[in-house]
Amino acid sequence: MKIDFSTSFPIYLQIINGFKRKAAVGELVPGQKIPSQRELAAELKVNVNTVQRAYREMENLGLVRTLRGQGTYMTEDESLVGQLRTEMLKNVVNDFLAAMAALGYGDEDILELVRTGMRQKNGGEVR
Amino acid sequence: MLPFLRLLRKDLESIRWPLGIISGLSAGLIVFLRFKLAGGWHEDLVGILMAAPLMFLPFWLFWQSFQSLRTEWREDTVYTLLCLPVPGWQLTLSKLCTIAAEYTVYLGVVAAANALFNPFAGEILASFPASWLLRNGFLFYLIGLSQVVSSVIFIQLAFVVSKMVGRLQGLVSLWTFFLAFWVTGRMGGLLEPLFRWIPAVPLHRLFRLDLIGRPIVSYWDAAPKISQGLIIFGFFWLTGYCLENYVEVNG
Amino acid sequence: MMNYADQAVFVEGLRKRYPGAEALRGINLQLERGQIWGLLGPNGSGKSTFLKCLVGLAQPDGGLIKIYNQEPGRQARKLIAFMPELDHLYRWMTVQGTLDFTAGFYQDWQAGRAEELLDFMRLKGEQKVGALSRGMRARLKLILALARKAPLILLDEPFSGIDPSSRERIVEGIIRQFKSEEQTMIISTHAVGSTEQLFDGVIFLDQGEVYLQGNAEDLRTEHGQSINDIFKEVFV
Repeated sequence: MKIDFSTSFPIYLQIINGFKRKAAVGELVPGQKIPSQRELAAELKVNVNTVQRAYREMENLGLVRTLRGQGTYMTEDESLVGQLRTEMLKNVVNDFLAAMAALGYGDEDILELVRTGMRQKNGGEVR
Repeated sequence: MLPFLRLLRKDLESIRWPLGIISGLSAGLIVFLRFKLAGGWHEDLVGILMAAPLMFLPFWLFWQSFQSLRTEWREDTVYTLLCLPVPGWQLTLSKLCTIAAEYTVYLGVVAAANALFNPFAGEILASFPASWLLRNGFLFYLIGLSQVVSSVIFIQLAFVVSKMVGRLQGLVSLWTFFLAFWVTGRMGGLLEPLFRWIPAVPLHRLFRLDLIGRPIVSYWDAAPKISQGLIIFGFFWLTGYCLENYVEVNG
Repeated sequence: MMNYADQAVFVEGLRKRYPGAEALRGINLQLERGQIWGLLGPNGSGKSTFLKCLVGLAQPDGGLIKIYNQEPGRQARKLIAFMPELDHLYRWMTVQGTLDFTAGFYQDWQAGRAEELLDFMRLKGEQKVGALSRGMRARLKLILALARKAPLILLDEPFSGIDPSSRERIVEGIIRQFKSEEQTMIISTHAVGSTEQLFDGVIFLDQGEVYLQGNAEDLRTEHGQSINDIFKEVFV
């Protein structure tokens, strides 16, 4: 498990986002065991309290659950994973749209640009 | 192991080498002179030189008692020492015992070397009965030890007090040393009457003989020694208290 | 009167003068238990003096200090594991001898933990302390502080002047061994750099005064900057 993070954004949120992303893309499957707080802290070279806070929040979100004396596991709830996926997609799209808007492009321009970009990527065709 | 024994072991281990070298050299000097005497060196010269190790002893001990604390500061190990959760007096007592051990070992080695290789000492010693020699030797050792102990306590006090001030540490140290010395004499004199009831201890056949070798009875006056001893003990306690509570590390 | 019973460290109006310099000019701090605190400031800002006052190696000229509700002194020393910036080891001892010596004085010494740390820090018991490199001695110093279950651990500049691999080992060693349920740690440093993920809270010291104190994550949110960037902004 590796999370690259910058330190200008709260670290515990970055850890949570890291788990969300991995769950959304299937790198972490439902019910999979995740590292203990201490292990993850040592790996990321991050204070244990920070990891603890991230795990606590994730538990509140229902993303993970901790079994006493056994460890922490990803949720079995497939629908939550689906939700995360949707949420992530939304975020990506929204970020993109916001960035384009900031550059002064209208909706039609954006669609056109996306089509052009895809055509170039796929060798001339929109699939 | 008791914390104090840990301290003592550490202090003893740290003087192993210097003590070994110095007493080895002193014994070596005596043996060397023995052969030079056989080789034709003048008797008087050899006699004086053979006494050198004994005359050297007080200076060396004086230096060592100062060094034993100063080294801790100079090598920053004082950070270890002063963080230990032990009373200050244990720190100074451990060093005091170490100096006493140095005195004992050095004196023992030099005395043995003299007895074996110093023909002049041999001559003198042969003229006294063995039991007399043993008792006198032991008394000589004890009196020396009490001198060593009180000097070490003065030096420790002077050193520790100097580390309580931010500047002029050398001067403060010297001042404290002489002040403590003066106070001991002065206060000792004041307290003395309290101990007058203790009879003087007769020292039969000890120490002095008249010209034709008959023992003279002399007396050991207890009262002044006891009163001074109390003052010195007070200084010892004060040093430990200051070391534990008021001393600062440099920088 | 403030309530300082549940603080690991409570300091009020702490002042310390050295000949020719005022090292601490009225420090007020309350440090919660169970956290790792970064004591940040440039050289000469009073970090070392502050830590020395806590452990009793420097005598304050004024103010109040409480460590787990105790004044600095012999009793408080039992609660504190202090790692000074200077090299405070006996050079003629071996590594194992150093550990044994320290173990003899503290009831909270964890022999198993010391052995684990020795292994982790790649040190060997029979090595002579005087023959170790600076980085290796820094590692040994850290072992002495972390092998105790001391409620308060003070590390003075544990990262200064040592090689990157020792630095990394030390950071990881701290993370692995720190028990937030029963310990509190203060780490002083003048170069925040890559160590800022260690801290729960930070204290910025500037010329003997507290410039800023707060939770690291909160400060990142508020400033939209890393602690290191805030540090640079304040002190450069």
